[in-house]
Amino acid sequence: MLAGNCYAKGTYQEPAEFVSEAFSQQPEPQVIWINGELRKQIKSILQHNNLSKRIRYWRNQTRSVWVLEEVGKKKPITVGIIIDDNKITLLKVLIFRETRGWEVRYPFFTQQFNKLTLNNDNSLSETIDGVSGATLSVRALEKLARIALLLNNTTQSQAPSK
Amino acid sequence: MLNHTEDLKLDETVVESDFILDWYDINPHGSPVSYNAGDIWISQWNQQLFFNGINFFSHKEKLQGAVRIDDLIAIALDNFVLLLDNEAEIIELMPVTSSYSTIKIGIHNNKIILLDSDNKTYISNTDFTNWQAYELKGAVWTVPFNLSETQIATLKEEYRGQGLSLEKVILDLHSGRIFNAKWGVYIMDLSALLMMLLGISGTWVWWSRKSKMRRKKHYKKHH
Repeated sequence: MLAGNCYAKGTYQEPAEFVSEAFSQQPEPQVIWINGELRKQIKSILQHNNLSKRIRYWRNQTRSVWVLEEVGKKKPITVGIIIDDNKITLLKVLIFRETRGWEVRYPFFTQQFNKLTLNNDNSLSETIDGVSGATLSVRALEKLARIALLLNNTTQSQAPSK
Repeated sequence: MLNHTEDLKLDETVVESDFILDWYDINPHGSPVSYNAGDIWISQWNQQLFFNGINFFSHKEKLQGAVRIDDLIAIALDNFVLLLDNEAEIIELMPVTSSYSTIKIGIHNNKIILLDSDNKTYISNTDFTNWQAYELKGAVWTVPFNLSETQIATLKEEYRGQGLSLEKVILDLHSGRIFNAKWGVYIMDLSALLMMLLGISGTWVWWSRKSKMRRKKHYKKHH
């Protein structure tokens, strides 16, 4: 999972534009280092070891914005997630590079994430209905939603430091 | 032949022909580009990036330089800076602020500096999380260096990875995928149909000629 990668193909919204639209006045980016227990928890959500050591985010009081990536079947899907008061207020597919499973970018699917929170076992507070033929993309988006909520909770309880 | 793959060690034999490796697009094209980042050499050959000769990342953007600041290595690509630790673990793929492509990277006061194609300089903060425009004269930028023959051979070997087995080439030759992954099989299907057609038409020609000769003999005998 890498944050911030960008290709022109299948770009529905540039990550920078998504971030700037999320705030009336865009704050400076901060970073969270993915070490120790947090790294273990994220690995357990992702079910693989391919994750970067730090992740960039933007925060203004209770509102935080995350741009995360996870591979669906073969290629990474870039997703923008806005969290307010520990609840997802918007999840949007920004860049989709796969040849199948693109249905997950439509609001009928992404709206299911609105108002979701994170349970103590790092699962989502509600079940997400899948999309036929897009199982892997659905799974990737669910993982990213869980990670964003986990990171949001963590950054609220710790100051960003190396 | 394929029934004897294990006896003939076809699965263990690696193809070394440049022509076949080129055909499979396993051979890198052109020349690698390399920069020193302290005691580490960072290279790019086609889309593959190498850390001391070891392939660690793939990116379509061009390598523009690399620097080392303490335990951190910063690699400049056109629109990103890839941050690594000294074991080649990725810290972050950072987007750059400028809308122009980065063309050079350097160090200034223990911070990363970037020069874009619009000739503007940008400097990072101390945590390497953000960039800001910066007026700087006499900056020192990293420059590429020429790799030795041994280093090039190392990169080439690394680029090829596990290589291409003879078994794979023979299988592809049989299925037609060696010509093209998509329509190669149809060439082989067509060839197989043509072979069948040739067999049937040959038998038909032989049979019709034989029966004609028989009729001729019969005619000569009775007339």
